[in-house]
Amino acid sequence: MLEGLFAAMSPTSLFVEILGVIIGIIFGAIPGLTATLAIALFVPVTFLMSAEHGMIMLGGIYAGGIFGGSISAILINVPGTPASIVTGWEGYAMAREGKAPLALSLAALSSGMGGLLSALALLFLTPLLSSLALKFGPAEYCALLLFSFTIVTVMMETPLMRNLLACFIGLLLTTIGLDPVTGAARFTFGSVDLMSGFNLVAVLVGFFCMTEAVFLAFDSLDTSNNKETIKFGKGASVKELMQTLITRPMTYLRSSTIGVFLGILPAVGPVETPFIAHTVERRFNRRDEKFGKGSITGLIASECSISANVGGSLIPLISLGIPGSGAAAVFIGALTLHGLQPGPLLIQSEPVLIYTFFWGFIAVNLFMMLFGLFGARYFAAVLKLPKAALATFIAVFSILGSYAINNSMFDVGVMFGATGLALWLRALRVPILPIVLAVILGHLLEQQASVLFTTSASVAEVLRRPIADGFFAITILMIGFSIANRLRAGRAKA
Amino acid sequence: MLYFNLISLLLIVCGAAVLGLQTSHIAETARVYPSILIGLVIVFSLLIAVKEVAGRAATAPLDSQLAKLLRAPSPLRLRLLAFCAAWLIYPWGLSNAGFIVATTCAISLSLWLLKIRRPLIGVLAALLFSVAFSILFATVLFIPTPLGPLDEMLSRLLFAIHH
Repeated sequence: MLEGLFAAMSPTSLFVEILGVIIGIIFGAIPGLTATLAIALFVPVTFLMSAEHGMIMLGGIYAGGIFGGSISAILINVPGTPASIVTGWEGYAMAREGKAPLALSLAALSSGMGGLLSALALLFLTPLLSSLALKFGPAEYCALLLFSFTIVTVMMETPLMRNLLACFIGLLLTTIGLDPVTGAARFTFGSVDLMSGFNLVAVLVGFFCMTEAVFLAFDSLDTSNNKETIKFGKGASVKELMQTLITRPMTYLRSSTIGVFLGILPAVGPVETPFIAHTVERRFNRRDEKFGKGSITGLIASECSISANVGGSLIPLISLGIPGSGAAAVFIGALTLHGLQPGPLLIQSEPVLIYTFFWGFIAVNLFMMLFGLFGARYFAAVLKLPKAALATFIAVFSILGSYAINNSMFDVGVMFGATGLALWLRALRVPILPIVLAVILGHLLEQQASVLFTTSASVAEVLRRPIADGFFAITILMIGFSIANRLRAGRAKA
Repeated sequence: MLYFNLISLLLIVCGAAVLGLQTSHIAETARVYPSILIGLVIVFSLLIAVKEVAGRAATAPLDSQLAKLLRAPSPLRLRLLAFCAAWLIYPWGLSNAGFIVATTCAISLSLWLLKIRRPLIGVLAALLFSVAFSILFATVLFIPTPLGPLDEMLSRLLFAIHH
């Protein structure tokens, strides 16, 4: 652990931590660009670095990107990332009262606090979860994967049938290439390029980056968008900020805990988290604050929970190989490109690397807080960048990034195919997230299911494993609740 | 939208069916898992299609960005289509004209299509970007890019500077 701490404090590590946070904040602050997109675009750049520095930089981009979204949400009421909608409600109302610097500083402080708590959870919970996961056999893995797919399909607001269809399409896509157990070629149509299946990063760049380039291009052409001017008031005092910390310690703690917990769950990303934390704080509100109209507590709850969700989503990623959010899913692609297999063995085989990342992630959150507190108004300058230029450069980076993975035009084709598929499915109202999760976990599910069916003599043998039983039971309960909720909602509509 | 949904779902069914036909060429042990998935994709697509026809499909609002795009006037959509076409042709241009020329042309065209205020500055920025990335790819990232006449000239220049 100490070796990791020293490695995370080396000049190179500090440089990539700062660089990652700055890139993240810039991307997050620009409406339309998300943390997921930033991570996907910068995965090829990490080839230049060692695996730990690459991970730290992507961690910085992730944390910075999520915080960056609040800058535009507060200043112009346009959330830089979808996660900042709630921050926009409270922060923009404060900005209209001339308290923009206080709102920005509070956002930075809350993000930093939430991020730090989640980084500590990452540091201490991941090894625990990893050691537990070492006891996992194929039955436990299958049960866990089934649980992950269920949580994603039942918790998304889109219709259940479409979520399931998305999940199956994603799983089917992973069967293209060589069979993981027998090595037989499947659906390759004689193409050598298809033997290894679709490159994960190229697919994710298509899903998240090129599609955004198309929408940004449209936004740049659409002159009906109102452009608002950015106004700053007087700077926030340290006393004001400290007062919020002293008077609302439980808000910080509750919202961060909610963020970490929801981050660990595969389906609940930073977008949904602030709504839940905001609702919880509204219930605990004893100050007569008007939530949704410039409430300091609401802003703290939102920002704390979003940032805490980031660290939380990395816990199952590193300990189990299961991403807790879309951005974490792209993170997996980066790890595999560096020859690392996320899962319980990773912390055993690469302890220095993982602890370097953990400590680096703590540093990243500190830098994020500092940059947010002292430089948010300077980062706001990126809001003036023309969308035409952004769309163009995202398009070119998407293509060059896909090409750079294997120096192959085939991957560029895969990226375009994924873009087309994402746009088509969006029009069909089929969500992308279940496909992403399925594309990432499909191989693992097939491998574990094959081993389970060949090694288990009967269903009773599988059911004798308590961890697997626990996951199966939760899965069945969730399906039951989901069906009941949907039936109730249907009846209420009728 | 109903026709679009039905045709799309039918296309998914057809795609899955094509893969289903391919499974006969796969070794028996390797085809069980994909066969199950193909079955599930077909069944769920058909179920959604039937519900759509019966008017009982659970509705979700269309993605707001996509809805705005679909409502946009035709000239705007045409420009966007041209933007997409420019980037789809770009990989072909890379292979035939080399990195610098293809990238400069693609960026300039893209900026022009998106009505950037100062197109000349756009072209200059595109050229600067292409040359800078060409150097970066050659000297730092060591990613071989397709070579055109300009790229070869730059390579020779870089070689001369190094030696």
